[in-house]
Amino acid sequence: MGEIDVAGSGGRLSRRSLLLAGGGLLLAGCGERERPTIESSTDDSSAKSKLRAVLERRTKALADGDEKAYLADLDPSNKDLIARERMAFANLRQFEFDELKYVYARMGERTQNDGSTLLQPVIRITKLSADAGPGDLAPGESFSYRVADKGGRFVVTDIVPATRAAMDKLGFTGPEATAPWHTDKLHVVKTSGNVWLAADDSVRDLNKFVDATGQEIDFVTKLWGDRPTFPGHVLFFTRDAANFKQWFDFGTADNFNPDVLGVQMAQYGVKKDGQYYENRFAGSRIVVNLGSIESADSSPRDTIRHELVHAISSRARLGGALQAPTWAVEGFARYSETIGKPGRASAVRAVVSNGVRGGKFRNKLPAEDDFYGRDVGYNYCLGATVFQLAERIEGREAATELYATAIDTIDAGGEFLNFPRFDSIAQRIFGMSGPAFRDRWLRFVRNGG
Amino acid sequence: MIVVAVAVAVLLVSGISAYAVTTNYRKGDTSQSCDTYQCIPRLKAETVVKALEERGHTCSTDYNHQTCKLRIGAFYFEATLQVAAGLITRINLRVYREQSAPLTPGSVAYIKWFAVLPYRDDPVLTGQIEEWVDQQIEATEDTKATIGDYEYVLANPETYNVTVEIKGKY
Amino acid sequence: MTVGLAVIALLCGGTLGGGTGWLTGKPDGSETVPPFAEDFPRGEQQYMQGVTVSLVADDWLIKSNKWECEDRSEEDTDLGKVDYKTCRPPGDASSDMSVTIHSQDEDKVREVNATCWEGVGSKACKSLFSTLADTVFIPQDNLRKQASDWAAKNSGTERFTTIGHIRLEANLEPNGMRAIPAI
Repeated sequence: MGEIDVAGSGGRLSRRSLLLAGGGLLLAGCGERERPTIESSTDDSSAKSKLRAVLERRTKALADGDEKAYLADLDPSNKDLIARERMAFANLRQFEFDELKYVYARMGERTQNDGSTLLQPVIRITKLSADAGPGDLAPGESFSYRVADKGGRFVVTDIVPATRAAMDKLGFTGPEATAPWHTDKLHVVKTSGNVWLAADDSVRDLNKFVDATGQEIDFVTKLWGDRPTFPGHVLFFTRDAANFKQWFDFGTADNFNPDVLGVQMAQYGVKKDGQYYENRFAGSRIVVNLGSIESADSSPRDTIRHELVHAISSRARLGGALQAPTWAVEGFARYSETIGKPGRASAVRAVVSNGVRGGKFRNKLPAEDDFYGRDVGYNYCLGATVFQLAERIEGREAATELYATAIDTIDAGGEFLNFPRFDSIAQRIFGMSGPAFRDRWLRFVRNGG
Repeated sequence: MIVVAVAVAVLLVSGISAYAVTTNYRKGDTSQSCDTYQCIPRLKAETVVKALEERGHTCSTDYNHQTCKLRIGAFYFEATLQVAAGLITRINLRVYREQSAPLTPGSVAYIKWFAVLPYRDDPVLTGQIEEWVDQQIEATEDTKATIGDYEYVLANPETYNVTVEIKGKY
Repeated sequence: MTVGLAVIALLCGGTLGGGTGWLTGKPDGSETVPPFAEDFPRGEQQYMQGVTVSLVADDWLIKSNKWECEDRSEEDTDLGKVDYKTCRPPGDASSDMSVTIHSQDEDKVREVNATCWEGVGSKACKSLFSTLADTVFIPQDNLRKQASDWAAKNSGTERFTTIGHIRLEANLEPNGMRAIPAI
C-alpha cells in the first residue's frame, strides 16, 4: 500500500490522516480516544532498594528457620561469608527475638573501585526476649554490606559486623555488632524464666552451670526485689582466652585484663535515627570466663552471682557519658558475693584492712579514674563496705536501696557520701543524717570492715 | 465541468471533515508541545502558582522554575514547576519529614493534587492515579510509572524525604 | 474518469484537511486547577490554632510556676523572622528542664518544645510533658484530657500521635515532648 507523506510529519501521521480522510464523516465525532493506563513498576534499580529487598528476605528466612533462603542472596564464591552466615543463622535460631528489623535511616552508599558497592551502616534491631528498653528501644547491631552484580545477579559479596576495628577500617559508625553469635558456633540452653546460657566449643559441660545459674538468679532476684529490671538474662560461657577478648570487643576496653573472671555488658538501645540512646540501657549480656576462673581456682558461682547483680540492676543504672559510679556498681556486686558466705566476707574484710594499713584509704570512696588500675581489688572491696555497713544498720533491703539510689547518681570523684543530697538519702533509708552515716562508715573501714 | 465541480466538492468535503476529525482527535491529546518540551495542556504555571499562594504557600520564581513552599510543624512541602511557554513541563515534589514516619493525610493530599494535574479533566483516571499514589505510599517502594504521555517517579516513601517527579515524555 | 478524479480529490482533501487539523489542533483541557482536597496543606496550618505565646509562657510557666523566660529571634530563609522564647524553672532547677516556644507573632505559634533532664520516666518529666499537652489543648477543650494522658503515658519514648489539630511527639534527646500543628 502506498503512502502519501505530509511534509516532514512521518509515515505514521500520514497513514492516520489517510485513514481519517477515507473514513470521512463516518468517523467525525468519533474522536474519543482510549484512556491512558497506569503502567507502574517498582523501581528497584538502586543498590539500596535491592539490598532492602535482600534484608527483608533474610529476616523472614531467619524467622522461618529457612537456612537456604537466608543464604540465597550471598555470593556463592565467598566461601568464608557463606560459612560465617551459616553459623550466625544457626546461632541466632537458638535465641528468641521479640523484634528483628532493619533501620535504614543512616545507611550510606559508596561505590568501590572494583565496581562493588559498600552500604553502611546497615543497622539491625536485635531485641532478644530478655531485653527491654527505655521507651520502645532495643539493642541493635550494625554491619557493612558489600554488594555487587555478578553474572547479572545482585549478590551480597561480604558482610562485616561492626567491631571498633572494622568501623575504623571501613569508615563508618554505628551500634557495635560484637556478640559471640557473629564469631563462634554456640550451643544455647534456655532455662526457665527467660534465661539463656550459651557456650562456645571450649565449654562442653554447659549443663553443669545451668542449675548454679538458676540458683544465683533466684538469689539476685530476691535481692533486687521489684525494682526495674530486664525480662531475662543472657550469659555466654567460654574457656577460650581469645574469645573472651573478642566477645563484645572487651579486648579493646580500658579495663580489659585477660584474667578478669567475668564481665557484664549492658546494651544501649538504638533510636529511630540509628543512634544509641545512652542514658539508660536496653538489655544486658554476661560473659563468664571459665578459663580464668579455673586457673585462679575461683568459684564460677561467685562470678555468676557478681555479674548477675550487675545485670539485674542495670536497667536502673545511669549510662552514657554520665555513668553510674563504679564504686557502687562493683562494690554492691562484691558485697553480694559475701551474703551468706562468711569465708568470702572475711576475705573482703582482709583486703580492706590491708589497704587501710597500706595507707590506701583517703577517707572517701574510690573515684572513677584508675578504679580498674593497680588497686582494683581494694577498690571493689572498699566499695562493698558501704553496703555491708548499710546492711548492718538497717538490713539487706536498705543496702539494696542505697545501691539503687547510688547507681542513678553521677559521682566521678567518690564523693557520694559528702554530697549535700546524701543527707536526705541517709534520712530516708537509715533515719540518720548524711554526716552521721559517713562517720560510721569511716570508723567501719578503719576498723577493718 | 461537472467532473471538476464534483472533484472540488469532494476535495472540500473531505478536507473539511478530515480537518474536523483531526482537530477533534487532537483535543484528546494529554500533552501539548511547548517550546521543545511536552507540557500539561492549557494549564498555565501561573494559574497553579496563584492557587497555591491563595492556599498560603510561599512561591518564588527562578529562571524557568516556579517553586512553592510551606513548612508546617515537622513537615516541609515543596513543589517546583519547570515552565516552558507559560505551561508546565515538569513537576518535582518534595515532602520532607523530620521523622521517618508514615505520611500524613495532608501530605498524601498534597502529592495527589499534583499527580492528577495532567489528567484533571478525567475523573476516572484521576481516581485511578489517586489510588496508585495510595498504593505506592502503602508499599513504601520506589516506583516508576508511565501514565499516558507522562512519567511518574515516586522515591523514598519510607524515608525523611519523599520525592515525586512528573514529567512529559519526550 | 470522474471516479478517479473524485478519489484523488478525496485523498488530497483528506490529507490537506487532516494535516492542517493535526498541526493546528490543540488539546482540550480546563485552564483552571482542580479543587483542593480538604486535607491539602493550608498556610494557616503553620500555627497551632488558638495557641498564643502568652497562653504558654505567661499563663502556664510564668504566673503559675514562676519560670523565667528569655527571648531571641532568628532569620529563617523560608519563614523570615522567627521568635524563640525559652523558659526555665527558677533557681537550681533551671538546668533540669526547659520549654521553648517558636512563634512568628503572639497568635502564630509554630511549636512548643519541652526538654527534660530529670531522667527518662521520672515524675518530673512526665508531669512537664502532660502539662505542656494540657496547655496547648486549651483551645480544643474536649481533647485536653486525652492529650495530657497521652503525653504522660508516652513520656520517655519516641512515639508520636495526632490529636485534633495538634501532633505530639515524644523524644529521647535526652527526653522531650513537642507540640506542633498536625498535617
